[in-house]
Amino acid sequence: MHYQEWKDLYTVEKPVRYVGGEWNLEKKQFDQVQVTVAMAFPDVYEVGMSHLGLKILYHLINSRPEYACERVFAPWPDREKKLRDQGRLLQTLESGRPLKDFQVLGFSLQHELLYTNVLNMLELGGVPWRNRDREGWPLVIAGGPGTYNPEPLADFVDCFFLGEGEEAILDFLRVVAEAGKNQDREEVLQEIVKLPGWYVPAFYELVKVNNFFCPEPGKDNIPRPVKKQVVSSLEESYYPHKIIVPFTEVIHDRISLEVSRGCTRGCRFCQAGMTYRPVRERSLETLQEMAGELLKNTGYDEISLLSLSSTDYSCIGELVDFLLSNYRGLGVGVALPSLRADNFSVEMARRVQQVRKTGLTFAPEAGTQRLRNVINKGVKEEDLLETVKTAFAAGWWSVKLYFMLGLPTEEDEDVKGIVELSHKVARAGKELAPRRPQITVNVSTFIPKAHTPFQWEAFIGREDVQRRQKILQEGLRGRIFRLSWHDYNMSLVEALLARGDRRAGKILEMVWQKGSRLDSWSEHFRPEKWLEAIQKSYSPELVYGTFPTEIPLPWSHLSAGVSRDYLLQERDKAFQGCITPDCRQGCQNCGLCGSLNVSMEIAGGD
Amino acid sequence: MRVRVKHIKIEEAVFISHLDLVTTMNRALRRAEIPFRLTEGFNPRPRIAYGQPLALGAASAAEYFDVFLQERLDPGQIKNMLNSALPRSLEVSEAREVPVKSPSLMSLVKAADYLLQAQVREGGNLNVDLMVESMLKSESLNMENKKGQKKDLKKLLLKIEWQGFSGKLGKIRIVGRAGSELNLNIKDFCQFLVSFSGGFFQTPCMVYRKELYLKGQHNLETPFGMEVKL
Ligand code: SF4
Repeated sequence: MHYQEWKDLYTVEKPVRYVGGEWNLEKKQFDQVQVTVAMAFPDVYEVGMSHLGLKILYHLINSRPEYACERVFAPWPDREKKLRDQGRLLQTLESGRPLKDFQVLGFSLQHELLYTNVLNMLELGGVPWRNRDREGWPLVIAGGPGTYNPEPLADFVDCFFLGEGEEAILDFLRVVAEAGKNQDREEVLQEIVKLPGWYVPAFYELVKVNNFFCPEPGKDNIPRPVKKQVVSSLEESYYPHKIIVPFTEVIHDRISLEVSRGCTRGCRFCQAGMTYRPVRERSLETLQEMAGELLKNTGYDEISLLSLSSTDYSCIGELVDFLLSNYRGLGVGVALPSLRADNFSVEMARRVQQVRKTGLTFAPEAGTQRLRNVINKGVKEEDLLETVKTAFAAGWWSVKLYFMLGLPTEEDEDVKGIVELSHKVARAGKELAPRRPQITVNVSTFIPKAHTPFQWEAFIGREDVQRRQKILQEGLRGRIFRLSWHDYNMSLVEALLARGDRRAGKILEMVWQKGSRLDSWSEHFRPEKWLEAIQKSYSPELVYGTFPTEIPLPWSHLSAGVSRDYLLQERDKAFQGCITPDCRQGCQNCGLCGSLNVSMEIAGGD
Repeated sequence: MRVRVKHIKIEEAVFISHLDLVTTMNRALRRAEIPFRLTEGFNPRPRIAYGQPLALGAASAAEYFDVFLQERLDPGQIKNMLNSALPRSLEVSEAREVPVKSPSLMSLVKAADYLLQAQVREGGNLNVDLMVESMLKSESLNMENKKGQKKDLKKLLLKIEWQGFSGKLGKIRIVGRAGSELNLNIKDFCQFLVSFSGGFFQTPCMVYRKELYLKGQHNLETPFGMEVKL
């Protein structure tokens, strides 16, 4: 390494973020491939490298000899300053080429607080950040949960893909490859819009309906709605036999074994629950084989069984037993990241965690049964208490409880319910835990998300949040409790971008130009910039308001598969406090399976 | 069986912290399917022990660790197995058996041999030979490091050798004490060099560890038992 290059790295924080060279990385000669892709994760390395979707697509694309895929992450401000001062461009880790030299630049939109990083990375990579200013390559594409309301980014991204990319990305790359390197942008976009699942804003016109600007097809043959795409069988879908092993500790530093995809419990606030339908499971044999290969090829000593709800996986007991009996002797641990509040889950946790090193986490989400019925969180207080008692008796002393503030119909009474429930858990802990219990109460803010039954509901105002936080603060004193909540200002930015139309993108651009980036990092988040921009040029109604159900929303030209009728019906049931059961026990007619021509896939199932 | 492994740490790997290096090597041992022994306790790991941590950003030709195995294997084979599971930036150069009962590497380390490369001030002029000579003659070499600790580097320095320029970089070889009793912090020395040279040498200096020396029967010796005379 040359002195100057070494010095530039040596003088920034955590240089290992920018050097690449990790085990299992893929490096190809660009003159030997047809399409070059830079996969951009708009957060720092340690966050991006924890994301399974990125690893799947990276290795999938590279598994094809005709394509090359490289990685790039958001630089920390010290690194950014260096790049700007020296007039250098943001580059990929593998070949060190600037982003502007790739044919495809793909962003993963995991949540709204990453959006300023998208604009910043485009500019740092030498790519005009507004799509209409771009000529030639690269095509800027985006996927991930953020695409369910892409409007705030529709002036910057060329094409959004809705849904699961494992199959669709190859079809997309084929189109790009066929276009050849000298193809006209417009012509390539015309081909892409014919592929299922792709929203190409250039072919839509904004129509103002009531308060919103909604995209409508500009001419015939442009899809409306654009339908999300799913892999019809998880069992048959691609998975990497090896994954990159970072040189430095990342947030999720272990093998993520995706046992199933989708969750059908039907919590009404949960976007993932609506958008990842239907449930698809991998077979036990496939998972056993995957685990063996991944352990051998990575050297990791921990496997996490990934799913929206891992103890729902049909063969969870057999899988856990297999992993423990085959690999525990080699010092390999098993982790279950998402537990239900039931004894079966505690039993599973007990089996994998012989030492109670980490706490158990449960998510009742709301403090009273009334509100839990509204949101369709099928957790009963008796069951939760029964479960934590079992956990304390089995040796755990640390329990984390997740709740939300600002859910539809929430009253102060419901927040007092959080206090009461936490005290009951604490009491059980004092009685049964092997040492003084630690009850962590984690409170996030409800954001009405696109394509959920609550997409029309209001976002809670600052004063209500503050009053309710105070109820929590006063009710949960004492060393036994640890109370933490999500920064309201961050939630506000999330709400702005999660439910905003094209005009929210103007705010985004304005705030970014004033220097905002890395908004999910509290040390870099500058709420005043957002608040000022919203006040100056946005309608608060679009952030906080209850949206009318009769008119189209800014994302009505997109379909996540679940029908509008179903969402409305779920909304009505919410207000009546009626529960909708899990569709594993019988189809609830959400419309998805028919609309996408898929069905539930259960392991070892009938 | 106990095997001593020597590997390099160059290119991008210079930015792996010591803690991350241990994790990285643990994973490589697993990938290579080396029949290592596990540590006791709740989180069993391969039983490996490094000699002397290297500062972040420094390159090395001489990183050593000992690993304990459950069965006998030819050390040459271990080297090959490990190299099939390691990136080139961490390649193993040698592996040899050492007695199971010998003291830990860490406890035997006595000195380390470094090559420093530092940029020099544009248009600056300094007779480095004279500077080195005056360093050697001084009774004490006092400095205060960035943490505010006052140190006399004199008793920590075993050798200084000016090796001339390569391009804009001046090269100096340093042998300093290393280990748990007396230890020359190489960053301290770099800082000292800058001020002692009146700013002729500039920070940051690029550090390259050439060798690690252990306490031998009479003299220092390399971790593979080669006697060295400084
Ligand atoms: S269509 Fe029926 S089975 Fe399919 S996801 Fe919807 S409710 Fe579940």
